[in-house]
Amino acid sequence: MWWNMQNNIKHEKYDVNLFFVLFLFAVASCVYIYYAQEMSQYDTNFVIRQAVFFVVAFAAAFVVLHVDFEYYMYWSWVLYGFGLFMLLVLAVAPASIAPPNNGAVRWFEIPVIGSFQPSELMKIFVILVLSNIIYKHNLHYRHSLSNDVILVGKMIAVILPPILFLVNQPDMGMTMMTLSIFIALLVVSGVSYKILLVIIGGPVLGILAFIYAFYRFPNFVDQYIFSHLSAYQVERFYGWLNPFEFVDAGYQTAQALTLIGTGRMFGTNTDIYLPEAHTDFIFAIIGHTHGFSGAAFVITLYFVLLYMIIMTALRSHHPYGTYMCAGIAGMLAFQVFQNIGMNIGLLPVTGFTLPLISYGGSSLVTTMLAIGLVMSVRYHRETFMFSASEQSGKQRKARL
Amino acid sequence: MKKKKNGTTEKNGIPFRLNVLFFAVFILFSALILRLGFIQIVQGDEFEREQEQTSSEAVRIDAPRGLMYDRNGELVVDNELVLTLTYTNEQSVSDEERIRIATELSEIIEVDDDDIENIPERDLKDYWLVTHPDEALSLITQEDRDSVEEDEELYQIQLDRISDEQLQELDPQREIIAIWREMTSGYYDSPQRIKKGLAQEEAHRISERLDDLPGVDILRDANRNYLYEDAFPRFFGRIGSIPRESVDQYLAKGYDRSDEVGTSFLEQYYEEALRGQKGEVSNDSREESSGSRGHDLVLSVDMALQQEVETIIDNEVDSAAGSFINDKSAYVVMMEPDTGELLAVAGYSDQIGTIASSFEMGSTVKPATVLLGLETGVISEHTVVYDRTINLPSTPPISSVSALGPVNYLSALERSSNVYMAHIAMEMAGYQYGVSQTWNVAQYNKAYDTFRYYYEQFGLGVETGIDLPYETTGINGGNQSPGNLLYLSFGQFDTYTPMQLAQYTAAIANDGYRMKPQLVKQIREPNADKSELGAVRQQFEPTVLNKVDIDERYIHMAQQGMWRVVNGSRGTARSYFNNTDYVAAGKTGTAEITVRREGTDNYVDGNNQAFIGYAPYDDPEVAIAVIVPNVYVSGTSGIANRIARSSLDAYFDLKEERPDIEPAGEETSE
Repeated sequence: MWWNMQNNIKHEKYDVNLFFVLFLFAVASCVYIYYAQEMSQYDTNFVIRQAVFFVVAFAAAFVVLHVDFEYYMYWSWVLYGFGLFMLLVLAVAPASIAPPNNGAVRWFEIPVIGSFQPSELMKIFVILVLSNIIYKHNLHYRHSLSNDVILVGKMIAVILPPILFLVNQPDMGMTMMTLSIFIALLVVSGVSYKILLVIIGGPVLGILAFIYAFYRFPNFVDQYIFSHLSAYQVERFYGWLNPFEFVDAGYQTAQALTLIGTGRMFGTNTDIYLPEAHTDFIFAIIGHTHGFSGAAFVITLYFVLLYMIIMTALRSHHPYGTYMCAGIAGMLAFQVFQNIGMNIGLLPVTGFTLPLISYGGSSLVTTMLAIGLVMSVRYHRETFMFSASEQSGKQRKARL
Repeated sequence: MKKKKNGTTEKNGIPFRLNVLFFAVFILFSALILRLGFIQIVQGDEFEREQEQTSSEAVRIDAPRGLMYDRNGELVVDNELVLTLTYTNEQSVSDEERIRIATELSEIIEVDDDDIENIPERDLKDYWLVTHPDEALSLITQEDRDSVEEDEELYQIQLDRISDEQLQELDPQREIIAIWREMTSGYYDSPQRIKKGLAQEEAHRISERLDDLPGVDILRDANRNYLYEDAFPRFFGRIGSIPRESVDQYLAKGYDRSDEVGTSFLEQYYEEALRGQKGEVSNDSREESSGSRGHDLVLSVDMALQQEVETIIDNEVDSAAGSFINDKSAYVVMMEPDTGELLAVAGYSDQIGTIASSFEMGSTVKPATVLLGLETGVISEHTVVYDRTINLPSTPPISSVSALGPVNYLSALERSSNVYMAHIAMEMAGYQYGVSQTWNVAQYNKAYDTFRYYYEQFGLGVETGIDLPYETTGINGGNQSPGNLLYLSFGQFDTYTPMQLAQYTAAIANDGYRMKPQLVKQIREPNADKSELGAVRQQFEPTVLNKVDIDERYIHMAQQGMWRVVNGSRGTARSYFNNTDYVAAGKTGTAEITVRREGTDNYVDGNNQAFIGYAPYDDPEVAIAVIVPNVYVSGTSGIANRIARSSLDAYFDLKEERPDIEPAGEETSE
């Protein structure tokens, strides 16, 4: 940047390690999609397409990383507004361009380009804006309980409009994803632990209480909770907590569990039918073909990726980069946990893909865009001549 | 103090918080690994064993479905063993090979003319492309290839460019195409039925050449034989291949892709019970279990009565053939009021209409109107209304058949006074005829709701709960003008299905209990001897859906009114029920309607004739609802009443003497 050229050193360097990890993901993705399509039912060659998607997604990330991330902060509100606008258009659009699918309107159907889900982009825009808010807030106010409450209030005000649209679509998965971004950023924003305890501890306790009640007092749950939900939602719960008895709702879970269970330590190759094997349930294929070793390897790969993102966050010279990386880490971690969790019967089935591995162009491109942002933080890293941590605060203030 | 605060701020610094986040991720991922280890390493054995068990069921013997009997134990749906030709398609088999097999089969087996005639054009084109690969290539140019992104689009272009002449070349091969089409329509690796009911001769010739025909097999299959199809045409339902959209659900329940399942009505509704237990010939243990027939259904329907009612409908309708504005139609539902069991469900060549078509039922709703009037207190047993034409602004004049003079609730039912009903509606809406100048919007809207609330208590306008997969609830006209409220009160606004009308009648007959209509009484274990019933497995107890929210005293009063309709000196149904051996109660109905003559834009005035009733009056055994829709105003009158009388007669005659019954057509009994 021109205003501080003199007292810092720029390292415009690519993060080769991260590239390598992404390359491993691309290989794993193609290999397991190949296994999935070998399990009968499909005629299309998904592997080739996925390979092409990877090239496109890499290219997109490559472009994103060359733009200094402070520009993203500058444009964050515009992008956020654009995202909201798209959600609004989707909500009022006629069925010809926004066709309902299983009762939910989540996609635009655009000629030539194909289908496109605005909420996928919106989640990235939400990260950009929330990081912006936290950064500006921490610049101007010291941490105190009342200031923290104001910050939380501002953050909620930002995520509320997209969440309302998402609930209306309806898309519970994306709603939960937005909340996970919110929570990850809340943790790093530095607000008081008291607030964290209330906002995170409450829901966690609630969920645990629900699961306990489901097994311990089934009648009570039936009468007072399930009677307020729609039938398909109730079925999801039964399918999740009791897949082998509620064969209809728990079919996918039961099949995925069988696939993974029979994989044992090193995998096997019996043909078991599983719907969506190449997309949402690709993890079951991993666990089946290469057993615990393969599945653990993939989980470790994700762990390494998240580690790299968080290290990038730590080393960023600019808090905005830190927040952005933390939000992206939260988003990815949630998505991975949710997808693998539903594959192994730990969580209810929602329509999440396994990022970077499941087949599908739009989810791959958005994930890579997010990672491109992380790379941008790494690429534009600056080291100050003086110790960074001590003076960074003052320096920022002086700039403004 | 301040310093201390600063201290905490440091501790809340970004690096520390990032570590917290990272720690949370670590915990979550550890949970995943733990759970994964538990499933794969601890429980792995178990999953493997289960999996081996299911896959060892290499050969399965198809088990026949359960049978159906009528309420008197008469066999009404049977199985017959047939030989079925199947083909198991595999991805690795070449197109030429498939066509060769189809050609060979076409020389051996006879294909239904219908199947040969009705080959969809798309299948013809597919076949043409497969058999003419070179010409298919010449249909597309390099330009096309450059302009499209996916091969599928190219294929679409090819399909579009095949000319009619080229398709006509295929005419001599249509039989082959019909077979080829069946062969390729199934799933890979799963037997697809090509032809059911092979002749012995055909089966022999195929089994001789099985080596030459890879993928082809002959299966012992059960064909459904609906013995009483003539009298009970649709509600048995049908069986067929698993519908594509529900394959997953069926697979989850242990079906194979090639299985046949109930796809409509009773066959579908009671699929779980009727489904046979497959026999298993397992590879490893050489054990063989023979499998067993599915559970049998005992219907509540009295097939003898059903046959008689069908005949009565046919006779009455055919003898008034010229009276119908559109297609001839009439519906009868007979029900046991105390149990909800359906004794007969018949329609003139349309059984489904009893649950799927709805009509304005005319004055048959009047007992309900009187009841809700009494219950809400807008009339009492002493209320007397002077029956003469009501003239309201912007509403056609409302009158009864003729000006009846003063009527109370009994004579209003006996002589079917529209004005009395309109009086109830106006009172409820707070409108005094001749006094009020305007309607109170809120009040007449509330009156609409009150009317429908009580009608629905009887089943009018809501699902009856019958044990069939589909039913409609009729058309709720909404809250329109006040005039329509008056029409609602004597059955000329909302429409109801014949089944709803029967449920309503039964609820009046049994003193106010809305019963769930049942077509099936019991599920029984299969019995080797088909002429004997097996042990009862499940008995469907009568289900009270709701107790009508009306004082029982009032219901008795309405019953009296209905008694007078049939037996009173001026009862509208009196002349139709002369000299019966039983005492009946009922209500006639004639809804004035305007119908479009089908295929034209002309509207014609017509009537829906309806009758509801039950007998014997003191201890009702049977409730009946009859509707004869769309009759010319000048057409034969009283068709519905005569059908009702004859049907009730038939019921009581059968009680006296029950003849042996036989399925109608000769060819079905074979």
